[in-house]
Amino acid sequence: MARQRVHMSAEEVAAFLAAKRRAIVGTRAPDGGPDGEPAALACAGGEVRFSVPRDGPTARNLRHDPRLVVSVEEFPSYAGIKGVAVHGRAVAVGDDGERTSFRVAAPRIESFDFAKMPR
Amino acid sequence: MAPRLETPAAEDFLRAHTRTFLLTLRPDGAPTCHPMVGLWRDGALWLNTYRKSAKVRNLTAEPRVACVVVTDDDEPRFRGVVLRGRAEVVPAPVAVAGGPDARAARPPGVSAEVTHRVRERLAEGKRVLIRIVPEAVRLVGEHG
Repeated sequence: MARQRVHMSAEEVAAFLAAKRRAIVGTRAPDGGPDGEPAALACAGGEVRFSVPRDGPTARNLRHDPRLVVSVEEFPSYAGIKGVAVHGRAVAVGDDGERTSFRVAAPRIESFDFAKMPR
Repeated sequence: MAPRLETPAAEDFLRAHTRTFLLTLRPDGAPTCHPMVGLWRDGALWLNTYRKSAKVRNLTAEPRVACVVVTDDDEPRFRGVVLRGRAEVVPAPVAVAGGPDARAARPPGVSAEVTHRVRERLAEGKRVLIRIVPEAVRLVGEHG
């Protein structure tokens, strides 16, 4: 697919992420295989931040390997699919005893907006 | 007869939901995510994609994958199921002969036109089916 033609602009990505409260975070488990978990998303000021249960698989996995992907997708209909994936490294920024918060360092962003698909 | 998952709630959830985030490992070992449609049939999750896609390349090199299947945006309670297991690429003619007609299913939100195009590309061999038999299953979110 000609991905570059369906990219969102940096402004569109920032607005899309700022409006979302949930993401799927992909990590690598200590057994070497990939793992995933829904996370609470909070993006602002150009930073991607999320929190997960401190004793859950994502927080555990990130202690072994900080590489991650944060995926957000909107699927109102096939033609309306929009999505952003943020690849990078997790840095723990807080822990309230129940949940650990992370920010994504060195983010690389991929995006797609099917409404921009030529038809 | 299809094996039952140990968690009946997970199986009920998977029958009713198709929104799937597939996690694979890239050649450098970093995780990546592919939002897709997943259909639960006969003890396995079935996905459908281009044979030459990055996800097929990734899971051919490293068949261990995870899938997070979640509720749609308009459902009031957010719930999901996380599966971990091994992925296998199944050419469409084999899958069709094998029974579960993943080609015939039309997930919610996908038009008849798109479904028709997908079936044509499966028949041509441009698309393939991915079958994932879970080895570990867990519930996430607000299950009752």
